Amino acid sequence: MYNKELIKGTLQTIILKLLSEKEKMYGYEITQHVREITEGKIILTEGALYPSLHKLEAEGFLITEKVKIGKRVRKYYSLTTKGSSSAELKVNELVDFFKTMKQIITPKLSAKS
Amino acid sequence: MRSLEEKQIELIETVLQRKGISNKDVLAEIVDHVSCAVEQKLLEGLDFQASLDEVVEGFGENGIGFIQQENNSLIKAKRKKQLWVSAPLVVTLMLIALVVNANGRPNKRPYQANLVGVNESFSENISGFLYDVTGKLDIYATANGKVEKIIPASKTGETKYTIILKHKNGYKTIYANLQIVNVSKGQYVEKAERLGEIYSEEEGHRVFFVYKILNSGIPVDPRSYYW
Repeated sequence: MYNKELIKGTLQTIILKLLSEKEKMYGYEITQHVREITEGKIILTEGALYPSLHKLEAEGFLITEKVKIGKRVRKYYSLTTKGSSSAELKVNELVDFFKTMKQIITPKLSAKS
Repeated sequence: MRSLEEKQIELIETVLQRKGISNKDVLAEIVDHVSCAVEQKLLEGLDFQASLDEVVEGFGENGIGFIQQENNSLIKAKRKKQLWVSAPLVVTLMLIALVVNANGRPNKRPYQANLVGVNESFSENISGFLYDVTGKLDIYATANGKVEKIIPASKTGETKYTIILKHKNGYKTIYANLQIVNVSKGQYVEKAERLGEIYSEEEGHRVFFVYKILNSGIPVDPRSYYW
């Protein structure tokens, strides 16, 4: 599992990206999905995921729908229009960020002749 | 997948409440989350109590504390928003205008003095002036400054505006409930420049204009200023 700080900065992007593919998801489903596709390398903690979901909702990126399942209430999250466009922007930004990081991390072959 | 029994769900709820989750919506959401995780563990062969212990332990003390803490601040933010909708006037007052007088303080009346049909009173609730208007009232800047914000608020189909001016020395002035606005955001205005207008549509119908001065974000009694 990665350093928490590394995940913290990309959590919103992860959430927005997943929702742009799955249409609607609930919290637990998000944690399981991330665990599966990363083969357990990224495990979202509840203490990070839910505050992030609630913040995105409060800021108008997500809307929620509550579905009663027996005695339980399941809260599904989906993207608003604002959320969709933000998902795209954030993913692009992250991809670009990876490229830049690579420039820092990968030793450059000296161009000196 | 085997679903949890009602009693087990209630137990989960109790455990989470004891851990400090008090907000009803958040509680319901986390109960569902924990239930899912417990069901998964049951599938893996653990019994209910062991599953629950493991899931709750996985949260860590801080995990739950964090969920609750974050939500408290969001709920507060939400409440403020609701207040806006339900009481635009109060909300307007809560929103703070920035304006500072070139000489220091906003020290002019926001309208021409001695007008008939305008009743000025100081309201403790809003720490500002409430003007009971019949007819039409032109509103003027009380000091030199910059238009920081123009906030529209719609109520019963009619849009009214709050203008916030930012002045020097940490002063802001707020002019609320305007129907007509003659300035735009970012514009510099001079003392006594016309900002907009408030009017009552029918004869005998009264409208309210609100004027407020803030010093470093704190409402001050405009009466203590020179008029």
